[in-house]
Amino acid sequence: MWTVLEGSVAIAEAVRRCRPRVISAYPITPQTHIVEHLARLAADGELDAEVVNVESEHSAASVVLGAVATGVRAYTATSSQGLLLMAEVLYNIAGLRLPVVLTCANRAVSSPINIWNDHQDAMAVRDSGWIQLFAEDNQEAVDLHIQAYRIAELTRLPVMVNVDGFVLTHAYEPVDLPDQEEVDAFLPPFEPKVRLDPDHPLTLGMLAEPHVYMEARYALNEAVLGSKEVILQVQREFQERFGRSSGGLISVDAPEDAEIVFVAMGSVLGTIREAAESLRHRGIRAGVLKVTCFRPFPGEAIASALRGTPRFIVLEKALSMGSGGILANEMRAAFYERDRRAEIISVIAGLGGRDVTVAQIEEVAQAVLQGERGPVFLGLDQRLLAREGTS
Amino acid sequence: MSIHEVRIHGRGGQGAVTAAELLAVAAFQEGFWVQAFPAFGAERTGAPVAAFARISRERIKLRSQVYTPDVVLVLDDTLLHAVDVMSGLKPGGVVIVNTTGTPRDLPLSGDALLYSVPASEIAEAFLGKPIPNTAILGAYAAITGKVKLESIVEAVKRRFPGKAGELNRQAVEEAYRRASELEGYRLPPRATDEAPAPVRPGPALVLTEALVGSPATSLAYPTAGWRTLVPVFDAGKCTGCMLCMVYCPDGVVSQVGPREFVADLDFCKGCGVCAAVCPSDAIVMVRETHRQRTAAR
Repeated sequence: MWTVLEGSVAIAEAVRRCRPRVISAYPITPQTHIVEHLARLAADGELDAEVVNVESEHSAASVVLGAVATGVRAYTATSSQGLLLMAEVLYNIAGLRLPVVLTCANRAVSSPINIWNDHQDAMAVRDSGWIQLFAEDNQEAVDLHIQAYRIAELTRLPVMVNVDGFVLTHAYEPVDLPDQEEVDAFLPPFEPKVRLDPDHPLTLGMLAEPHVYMEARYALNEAVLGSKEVILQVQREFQERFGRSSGGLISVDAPEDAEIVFVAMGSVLGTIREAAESLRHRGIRAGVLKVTCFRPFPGEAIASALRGTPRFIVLEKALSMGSGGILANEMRAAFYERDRRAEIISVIAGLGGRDVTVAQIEEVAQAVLQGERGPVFLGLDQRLLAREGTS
Repeated sequence: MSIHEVRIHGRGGQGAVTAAELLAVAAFQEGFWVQAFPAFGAERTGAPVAAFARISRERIKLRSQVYTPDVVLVLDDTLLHAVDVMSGLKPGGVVIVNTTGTPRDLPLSGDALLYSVPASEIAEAFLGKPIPNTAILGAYAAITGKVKLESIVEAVKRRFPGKAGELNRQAVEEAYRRASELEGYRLPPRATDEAPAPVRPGPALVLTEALVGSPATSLAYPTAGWRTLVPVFDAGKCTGCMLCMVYCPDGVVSQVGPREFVADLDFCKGCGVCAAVCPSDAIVMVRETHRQRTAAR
C-alpha cells in the first residue's frame, strides 16, 4: 500500500513485517525514530518482540548477538559513535556467523562532533565481515530491510542496511509498504543451523589457536565473497514477488557510449541522477553507476560495466585519513586486477551534512572533462582554510 | 523537472515539520509525487526551525536542500526579525505570514506577494491552543490553489484522528475562507544596497590542530527570542515547593519570596516545563505579544 511516511517509520514498519523477536538499541540521533516506533508497536501489542533497554550500543549489539545465538530473529539500529562503540561486537557477530540485521542511520563521526549525514561510520567497520547495503531512497530502504533478513539467514552473515541519516530517515515520501502476508511468503521463519540451547549444550566463540584461526578467517572471507550470489538471487526473488527491482550489487543508468560516469552510494544518487540528466541535455554523455552493495565489494561487476567509458567520478561521503576516497581506491584496485584502464577521479563530498547540489556535480563533471584529476573535496571553503593557514 | 518547493519557518513546537508532512500527504492524495523534510538538526521548543516540501508531477529524485522556494510560510511573525524568510524566494513568489498585523507593517521587501493570516488566532479559537500549522495550510490552499482544501482537511483528519482532527478541520476551513478573501500585497522592492546577511559568528577556529572555540557561557546568548508563551506566576496558589525552579531546563526561575517566583525573561524560552510540573497550578503559560516582550525587557 502506498503511503507518505517518514523514512524512519517506513523502515520500522518494514522491520516489523520481518517479525524480529528481540529488539535492542540505544538512542542516538538520527537513528532514534526507528527504534521508538518499533518500541511503541511492541508496547501496544502490535509486534510480538521483546524490546531490551540497554545502557550502551555495545550492550545493544551484545543483546542481539545473544538473541540470534539462541535462534531467534533480532534487530538493532544505530549511528555514528554508536556504531563505533559496537565495533568490537560487530566483529564477534560476523565471526560467529550470526544473521543479525542492523540499520545504520549514517552520520558523521567525532571529532568535531556533528550529528549530520555522511558515510564515515559505516566505512569504519567495513572490514568486520558484515554485508553492507546502501539505500538510495526510502522505498529501497524498506525493500533492503526485507531482503536483508533473507540474505542474512541464507548466508549466516550479518547485514547492515545503511540509510542516510536525516536525508532519508527524516524525509517524508511515498513508499509502497508490502503486506504482512507477502513478506511472510518471501521470508520464511528463521531456522538456524546451530543455536544455544540448554538442553543441547554447545560452545560458540571458542578460542582459536594459531593453527585454526587463519582458516576460520579465510572461511569468513569466503562466505562474504560468496554472498554476492545470494544477494543477486534474493534480488531476483524480491523482484518476482514484489514487482520492483531493488537491492543487488550495482545498477547502471548510462548511455552505451557514456563519456563520464558518476559512481556513488546512498541518497546522493538522486541528486546525481538529476545532474546527469541535465548534463545529457547539454550534450555531455553522462551516466550513473550505483553501488548498492559495498561489502562484499562487487569489483567484478563494476569493472565489467560500461567497458567503453573512459572516466569515472567516484563521489563518496567518506575518506580514509592518510589515503583518500575508499570507494575510489577499491574501484581502482578492481580495475587494475582486471587489466582495465580508465580514469577514476575521487570526489569527497557531503561530510558532516554538507549539502551536495546539482550545480556542484555538474561543475565537477565540467572540470573533469577539462582535465581536472582530483582528488576533489567538493565545496571546501577556501577562505576559511586560508584564514586558518591550512591551505 | 518542474518541482514546486515550499519552505516553512516556525519555532520548535509550532508544528513546522508536521505542516510540511501534511502538505506532502495532501498533495500525494491528488496524485503528485512529494517529499517533505525538516532542516536537519536538533529541535528545541522555541528555537527557529524550518521545514520543506517538494511537490511534482514526476518522481522526485533531488535530495539537496531547498534554496529557491516558490512559497514561504511563516508560522511566527517574531521570526521576521530573526530570520531572512525571503532568502532565495523565486521572483514573483508568495509569502504567507501568520500574524494579526497588516501586510504593509511587516518588515519585508522583495519581488513577492505577501499575505497575512491570523493563523494562531484562528487556532486559538478552534483548538484552544495557538498552534498555527494546520490553519496556515488552509490559507496556503486558498492562496496558491496548488492543493485542494479537501486534501488538506483529509490529511489533517488522518494525522489527528477524532476530536482533534475535527477541530483542526474547522481551523483549516476558517483560514481557507479568510484567505480566499485576501488580495496579495505587493512588497516594496528590496533595496539593492541592502547589506548581505552578516556572516554567522562562529567559534574561533583552529583547524590546524583541533576545532577550538573561545570560552563562552550561555549568558552571551539570550534565548528570550525563542519564546511565544510566557509563564505567569500566581502567588496566591503557590505553595513554595520550588519544583518550577528545580525543573526549569534553563535555570531561569528564581525565588523572590516564600511563595513568590519569577522567570528571567531574557532567557526564558517559554517551554512550559515549570507550568507542567507545578502541583498547585500556580503557573499558567500565556501567549506573549511582541509589544509585551519588548516592554518586559
